[in-house]
Amino acid sequence: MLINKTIITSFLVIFLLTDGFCNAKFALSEFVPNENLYIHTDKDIYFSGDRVFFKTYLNVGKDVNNSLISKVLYIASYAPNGSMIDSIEMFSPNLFNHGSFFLPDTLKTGLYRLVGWTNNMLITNTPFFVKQIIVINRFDEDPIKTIGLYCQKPIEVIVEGGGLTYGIENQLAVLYYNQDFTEKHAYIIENDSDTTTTFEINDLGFSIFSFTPESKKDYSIHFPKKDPIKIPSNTLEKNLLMIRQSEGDQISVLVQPSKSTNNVFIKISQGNVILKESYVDLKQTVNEFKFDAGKFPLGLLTIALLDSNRDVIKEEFYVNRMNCQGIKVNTDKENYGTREKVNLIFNKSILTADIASASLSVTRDETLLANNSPSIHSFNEFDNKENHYYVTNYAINSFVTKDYSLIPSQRFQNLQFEMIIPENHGSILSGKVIDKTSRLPISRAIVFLSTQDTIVNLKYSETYLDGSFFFLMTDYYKNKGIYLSIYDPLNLYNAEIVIRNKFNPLPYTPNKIIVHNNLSQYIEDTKIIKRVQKSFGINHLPQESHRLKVKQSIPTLYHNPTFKYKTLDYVSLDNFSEIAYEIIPILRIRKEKGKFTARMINSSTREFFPQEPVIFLNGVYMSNINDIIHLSSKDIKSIELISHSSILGNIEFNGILSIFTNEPADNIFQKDHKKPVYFNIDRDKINFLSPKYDDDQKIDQYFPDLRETITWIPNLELIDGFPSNISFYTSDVVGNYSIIIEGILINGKPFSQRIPLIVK
Amino acid sequence: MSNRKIFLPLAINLLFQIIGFTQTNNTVEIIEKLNESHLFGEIVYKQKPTKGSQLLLESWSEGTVILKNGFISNNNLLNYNGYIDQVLWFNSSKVRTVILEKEAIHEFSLFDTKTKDTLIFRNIEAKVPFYSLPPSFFAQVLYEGNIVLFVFRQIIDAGIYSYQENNSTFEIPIVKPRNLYFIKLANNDVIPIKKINKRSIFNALPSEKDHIKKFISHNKFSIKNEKDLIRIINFLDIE
Repeated sequence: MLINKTIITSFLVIFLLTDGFCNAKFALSEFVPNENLYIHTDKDIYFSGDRVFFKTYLNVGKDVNNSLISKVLYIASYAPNGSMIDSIEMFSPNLFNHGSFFLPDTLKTGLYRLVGWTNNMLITNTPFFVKQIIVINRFDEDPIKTIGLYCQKPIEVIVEGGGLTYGIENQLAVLYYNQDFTEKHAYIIENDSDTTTTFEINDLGFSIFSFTPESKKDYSIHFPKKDPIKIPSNTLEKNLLMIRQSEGDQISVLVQPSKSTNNVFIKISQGNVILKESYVDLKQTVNEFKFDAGKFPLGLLTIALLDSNRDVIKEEFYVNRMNCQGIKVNTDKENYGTREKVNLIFNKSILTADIASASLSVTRDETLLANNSPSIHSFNEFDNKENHYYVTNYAINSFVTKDYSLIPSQRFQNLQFEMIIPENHGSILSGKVIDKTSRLPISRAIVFLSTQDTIVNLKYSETYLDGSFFFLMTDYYKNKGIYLSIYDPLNLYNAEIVIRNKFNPLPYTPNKIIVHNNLSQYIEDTKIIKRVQKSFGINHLPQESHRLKVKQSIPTLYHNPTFKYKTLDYVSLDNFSEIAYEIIPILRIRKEKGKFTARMINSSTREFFPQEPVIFLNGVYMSNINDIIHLSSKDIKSIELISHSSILGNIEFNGILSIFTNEPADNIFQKDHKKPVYFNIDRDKINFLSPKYDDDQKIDQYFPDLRETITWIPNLELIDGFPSNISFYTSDVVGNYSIIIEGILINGKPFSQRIPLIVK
Repeated sequence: MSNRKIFLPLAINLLFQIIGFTQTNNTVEIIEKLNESHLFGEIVYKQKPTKGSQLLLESWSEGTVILKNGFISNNNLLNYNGYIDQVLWFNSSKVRTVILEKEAIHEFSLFDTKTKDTLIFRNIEAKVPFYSLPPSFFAQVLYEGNIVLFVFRQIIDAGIYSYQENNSTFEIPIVKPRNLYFIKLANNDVIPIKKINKRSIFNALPSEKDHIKKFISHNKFSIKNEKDLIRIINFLDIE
């Protein structure tokens, strides 16, 4: 009986705890829109010193009317070790935006990552947008070797799941770089048997195809005039879990039979929410279980397989509902000369809906084969030592994926702050106030925010239970040093402020890029172009900068001081104590135990305030008058006082003393342990400029036009939801180009199209 | 099963439910607060005594303040003091009456619980010939289109009131309300309307006299109160 009671009690505890806990965890994610960020860059291979132009698309699907849609985007470029090369915080009032960033000249050759996200994506646990870009430094001797674009082996075989699994359809990728095959076919041969399977080989250097081994034997690939290569096979005794995207909306889960068990438990979950779970009997052949992806919510899901030994195999996959759609584009000629006008004619026929926004780039074809493919090929490899799966991405995440693509997720690890707020109005500066000793959060502390200015500006935030505080940043703070301080006139706390770092390190393993044979030539050609550009002083692409004119909202504390003094109107005095004594009758400064204190007379009551006035230096709050006591008449320009009791929100001030110096007071702020935080949102917009040549200009133009990206139009002009025909001029660089058009339809579906253009 | 065993899990669950609920509410509260600005002003401990009310409304009214820097502060207890032409804010958490900085305010609203009307006041600068007005003052917006109709709801001195207390005689001003109406035309000219009657309107807008006459006779009404004045300004604006 006692046991029964304990069981019931335990059950109740678990049930009720789980319910409550789930509510706590998923509360916010229910409110915010499901956002996906896509970024279209003008090209995929850059040289150090290039500028990367990009267009952002925020896809919110059906949540288009949600008032919490993000207005701030975060875009950062990372090196493989996780260090950040550059970061951009963009205010994006609309769903579409564009910008650019500069790749430093000193950047080493390597595979870098462009990562984009919003706060709502962090809240809903949506994987970041990730795109791999190649950066080549023209002074590196063998850039291809450095970034390892070519594999060590001349021919390499990669098998899904790490090795062939018999009885099921395995996906294989065969890479054959720099091979000149006379025949167009290769064969998979089952050892000790006559069974052969043929697949096509091509000039592209790689083939991806499906192969179903019928028996548990060794298989090898035979290329013309090459030694056979053994295909690795799976000899694992454990259950093998493979998730594969099937045709249409089907997600296949493949489970290898196990000798030790006849059934397994499959669980599909999102976070702590279990979406599907069932026991399934295993056949002796490979088991395939199909799930309708449409019945699962979008986002990151986990599938777990438990066998009778309670061994768990887990794999994550991401359900992303997107259709690959194209847009038909025609050029007015087959080939073009240098500096010749190109007319593009768009054809609406194959689009199912109007275009919401689209971008276009015309750039030299870099012949990155993987990038040409609109799909993602994931190869799951089983790590015997670690007893888990890891996913290596075989190709770059391209803009458009197939229905329900399975994308390995990437997100910041060890986020310090649980409380992330939707940035639906603008950028938010957040952090925590913690006790210096115990490191525990302090609630109800007052945090002041101000910046150096000729007016006193002040915002404050009261910390919440977890010690967090939040400030909505306006344009006023743009590119200014922001000072945060704890307002603690009664010295209650031994506290410090920890500011939430929006850009955290994001280490990754670069994805293997499959390249065409002529990439070496492309790099050599581009090196020459860069050298000529340097010698002609054409450092970057033609561009123009414009600063956005925005209304600045200044959080002015007060407008009319009760008293205002200009030190120039008085005799020069050596320190602020003397200035107060001689010039400011309502301010009394006294020295007690080696420290100065200040009191102000209340002009309403004619009595001294019981506490010190709040002090500002150049608009920035100062917690201590001792830090400014050394300021002389030469340092100080003016002094303002509010000599009555005043209130800002819920904070009462016993007078306000504002001092403005002739020079910026950075040194003094350092003494007060104040470090500025810089709010670098929306740098100057750089527009891509394409020159226009009429016949005369074409002849007279002296400078070489060595644009590798002929044009970049982040916002294609749309008439009735369709791009109007456009024209642009080719440069002096001959070769193969790609016209890349990407965009999003009003129904939220993205489209992408890449068509060739030849300049002779 | 003992009561303790039942209540313990229930209590723990309740705690987690509260955490969940608080977190949601907390977030909503944070988002709402982020967009709001804190009001600043002088704390008032004493008000100059007068015979008659200096305030527009009898009690504190919930209202919004739009500051000149574009920030908005919602759900504040406000009133308008027409005697000193200032907005008063009652800070309920600190139990303080505060005179808000006039220079900082662009507009504020009050809700008149008697008439159920929302009254919008704007900080305006208007130079009107023959009128002695402060450089800027709060005027209620009665109608806003291409033409704007304002009223400056002043409380003015109307005499001296003497009373005795503790064998001493005290004198305090007697105050009364006075409404000054202004029309701001599309060309930004400001024209005063001395009284709410036909003659004052015809004097203010002589070129529109015939139009207004026709409108009044056609609709068969006389100009007696603010609503009639608003009706005419609305007609002129549409015309």
